[in-house]
Amino acid sequence: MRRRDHLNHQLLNILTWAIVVVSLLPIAWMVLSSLRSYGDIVGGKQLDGGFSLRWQNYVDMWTQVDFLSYFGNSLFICGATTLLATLASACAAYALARYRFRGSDAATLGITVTQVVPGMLFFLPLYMLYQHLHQQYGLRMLNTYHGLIFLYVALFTPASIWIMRGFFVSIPRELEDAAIIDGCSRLGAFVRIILPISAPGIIATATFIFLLAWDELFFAWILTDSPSVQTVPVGIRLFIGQFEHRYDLLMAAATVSTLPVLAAFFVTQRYFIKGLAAGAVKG
Amino acid sequence: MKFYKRIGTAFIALAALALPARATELNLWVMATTDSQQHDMQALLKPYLDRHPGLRINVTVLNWEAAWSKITVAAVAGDGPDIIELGTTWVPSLAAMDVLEPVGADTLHDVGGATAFFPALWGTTHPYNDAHIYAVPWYGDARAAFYRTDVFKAAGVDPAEAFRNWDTFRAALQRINGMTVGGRKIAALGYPGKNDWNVVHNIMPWIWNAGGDVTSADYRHSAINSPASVAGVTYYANLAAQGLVPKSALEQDSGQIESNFCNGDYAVIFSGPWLLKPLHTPKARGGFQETVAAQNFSIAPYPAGPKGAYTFFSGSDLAVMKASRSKDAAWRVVAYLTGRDAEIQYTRMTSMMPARVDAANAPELTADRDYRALLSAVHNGRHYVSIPSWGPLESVYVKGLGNVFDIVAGVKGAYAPAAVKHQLDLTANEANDLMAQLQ
Amino acid sequence: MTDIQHTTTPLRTTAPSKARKRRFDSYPYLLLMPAVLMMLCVNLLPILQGFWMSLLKLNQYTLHQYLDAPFVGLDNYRHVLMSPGSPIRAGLAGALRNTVLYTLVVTISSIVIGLGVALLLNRDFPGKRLARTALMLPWVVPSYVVGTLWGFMWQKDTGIINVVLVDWLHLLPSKPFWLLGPGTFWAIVIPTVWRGWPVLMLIFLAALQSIPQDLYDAAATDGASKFRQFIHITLPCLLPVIVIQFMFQIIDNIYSYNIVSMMFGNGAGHPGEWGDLLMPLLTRQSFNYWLFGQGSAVSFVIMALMLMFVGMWMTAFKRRMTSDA
Repeated sequence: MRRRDHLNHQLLNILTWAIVVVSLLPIAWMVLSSLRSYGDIVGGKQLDGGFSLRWQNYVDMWTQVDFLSYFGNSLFICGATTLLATLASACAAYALARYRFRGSDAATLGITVTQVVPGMLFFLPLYMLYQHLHQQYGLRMLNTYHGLIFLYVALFTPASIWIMRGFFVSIPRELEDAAIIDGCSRLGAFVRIILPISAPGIIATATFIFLLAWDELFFAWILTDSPSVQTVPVGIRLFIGQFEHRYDLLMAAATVSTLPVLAAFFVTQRYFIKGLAAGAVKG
Repeated sequence: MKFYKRIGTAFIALAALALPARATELNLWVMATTDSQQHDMQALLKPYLDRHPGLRINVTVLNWEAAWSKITVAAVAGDGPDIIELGTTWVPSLAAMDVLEPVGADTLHDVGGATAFFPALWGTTHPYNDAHIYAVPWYGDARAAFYRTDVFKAAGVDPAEAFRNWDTFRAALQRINGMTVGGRKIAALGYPGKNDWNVVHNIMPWIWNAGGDVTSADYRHSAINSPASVAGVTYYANLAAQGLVPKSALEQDSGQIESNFCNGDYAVIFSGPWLLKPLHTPKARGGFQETVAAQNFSIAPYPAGPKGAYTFFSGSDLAVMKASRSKDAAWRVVAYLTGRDAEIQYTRMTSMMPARVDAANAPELTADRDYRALLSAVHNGRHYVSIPSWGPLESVYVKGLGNVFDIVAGVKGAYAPAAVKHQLDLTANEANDLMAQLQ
Repeated sequence: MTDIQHTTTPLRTTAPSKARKRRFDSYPYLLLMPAVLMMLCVNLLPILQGFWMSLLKLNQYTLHQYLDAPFVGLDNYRHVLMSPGSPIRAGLAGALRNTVLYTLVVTISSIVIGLGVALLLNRDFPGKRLARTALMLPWVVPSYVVGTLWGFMWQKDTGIINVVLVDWLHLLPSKPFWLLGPGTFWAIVIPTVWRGWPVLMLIFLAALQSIPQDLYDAAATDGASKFRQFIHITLPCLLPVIVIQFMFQIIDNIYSYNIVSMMFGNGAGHPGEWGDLLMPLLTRQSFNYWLFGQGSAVSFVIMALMLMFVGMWMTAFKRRMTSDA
């Protein structure tokens, strides 16, 4: 019995790693392309160059467009968006998961409606709103950090509320009720019992929000004008124009832009360790 | 105490007078034509900014899709940049949207008026039925054939004869197709199919040279399925159907075709002045200078069709938006950028061509053999009709003409000229529906 | 940390519902407020304005008037829904068919693969931290780069996929077109699935982590096989998350835009009959022509249909998705 389990375990390990490898083949292709000239990329000759790798691309990508600026802007905007959106959606998701109150159905409906609005429909009204705020109240929203952050938080909170609500719903009620009987306030129960248990879910949602913000191109372009505010998607997109097609720099920039998220993800891995979740429930 | 207060106030008043006047700030939107457009624009504007110390110009670099969205919101919101670069095909549409400021008499005088610029480009500065001028031409690009001199030589084909007319052209391609040159098999011709923004521009010279056009003479109906237009499209499509263009070219875009020309896949392609830049740039800086193609190419005009020998001549114009709060300053910058020296400098940066005749004929530019070849093509340059609905119409044609290439590639059933005609009929219907919408 | 004691019936089970009826409990409202306020600001006004735009003749000539453009009532709706000459109708049937097929294939594949890999990663094995991070990579690559990257991979003669399939593995006799013709459907489905399943895996993995281990232990003691444990413990616990993700995947895929637009000519070209999806079509056939009135009308029609879908979905799975109160 044991040997068969061991064999199964090994086979599953091999399967897991096989999936990882196959999944990463396009990524490997992207990284390889980033080390070739764009003529080689277009001609499909990435494999022909042997080991003459074009590291110069990783230098040029910072100078051809103002990529350092875009990178820094993205880090700040997406970081702020993630923090604020995670906070807002965790609270809202908890309220919707645990309580039935007047307006909760309307809120749920409202949250869902926001998800089915096509982006094309509301870029004009949104731009007009931002302009109106500037003209009437002197509040600059266009071409600013806070203008983008506000929009992103509002855009990505609804989906996050749904995801986190799923996590909160699957946590048994007894946990908070027991804590409240022991003298905890409702908020205390939320913060000290529920949040730690749902940490994997919150981290997952935060990653999700960060990446949605990191990838957002359309509104970043509409609402900003200068490299001092613009984000990585805008910068990457500028490598391919009508007459210039620096696919090699594009691939290099894309590779570089995956690094912050990967690093953050690797570091937060430990919240996915099983013990943390199980320990609180066992007697 | 009062005495010191008085001295203090006087001092402040004097100081305020001595401060420079508040700087004028202009916003300029340009398209990403070079690969470091922001730096290049700063370099281009520097002489002007040095002469005007109180002036600040903020440059925003866009590419074409972003430009459409941003211009749309600017049109609605009534804000936007002071100066904007617009493709020649867009000016009539935007003029009709009432967002462009007509060019004033002073500026017209400063830039030299209509005669200072190539006629085809000057025609793009206003809708055909509007006497006001809305933009000043900045740079142009005329298309021509880029061909491999070594391949032609090895095949015993005389370039002048090959590009004389459609029949000689096809004959020359047939002789070259499939030759092995320098150990590589080479295809005669390469052109992109539908996965390209250039679809209409690529096919237009062939339609014009057969006597066709995109709209009827009264601009009210589509003429893409007129017998002449169909003849032009069919000739062009047949080149691929007969195998003179490899089928795999049809899924690529213009940029990839150009790169693959440099890689040695095709003996002939049709391209424009922008290709000169990578051909003259070393590989270390992202170019193709060391390739066999770059060492052995030359430029020839489009072969003459039954009814003409046109090439497609387009480019970009500079306009000032109605919402600008410093129009005078903006027009002065436009006059500078469209002046002789600035246009020559920009040509050097982008390898496009000046829109001004005097700049285009400048000796420092015409010294280059390839530039001269392109300049001679400009004489036969033609542009689309300046109708306000061209912007949307072009989209319809991009799709409809693109589908023709699908037919040629064989992914929509067997190729037959009747299928091409049918597709053009469908396109004409859709264009007519759209034109009816836009009245 | 005090010991958490289980009691069979927590004292507040019946009291709270009576208490709530007697006094106004502001606590859930306070929790909800920040999110709701933001969403109202950013969504409500645009939706209302968008609806108003759909009642106006808003095209390139009237655009600068914006909301003061001529009022035409339901003309736009009539035009897009019934008139065959509307630009939006050109190619609409094909795009709808493609979008439905695309959504179904991508959603089901992504969820199944995401769940499967989450189960695999939920074990202890050497290098699991590295594996989990590495698997996130497809999702971390920007979506518009994915379009360009796979656009090169799908090239007929030089693309690496055809090289592997035909030259190396001899799985196909000749190199097919992927960027033209019927192949475009798979050319857009496969990158979307490739990019989409990692985030689902992440979410399912997190959900798997919160299933109490003692449920499995109890079942194992009772002699249940791993498979039965999966069916009777794992799936029911995961169901709320699966149901929600399924709905979101469907919504996301119906609105899919970035990958498709970048793969064919870097945003310029038309994907063809089998690669055209609903959003690229609508953007191209209405907004790109500056026909904002009609574009808004069509957007609202789609929104209405999607809301019906969501309504039906939520009604069907209501018990699974809300709290068990």
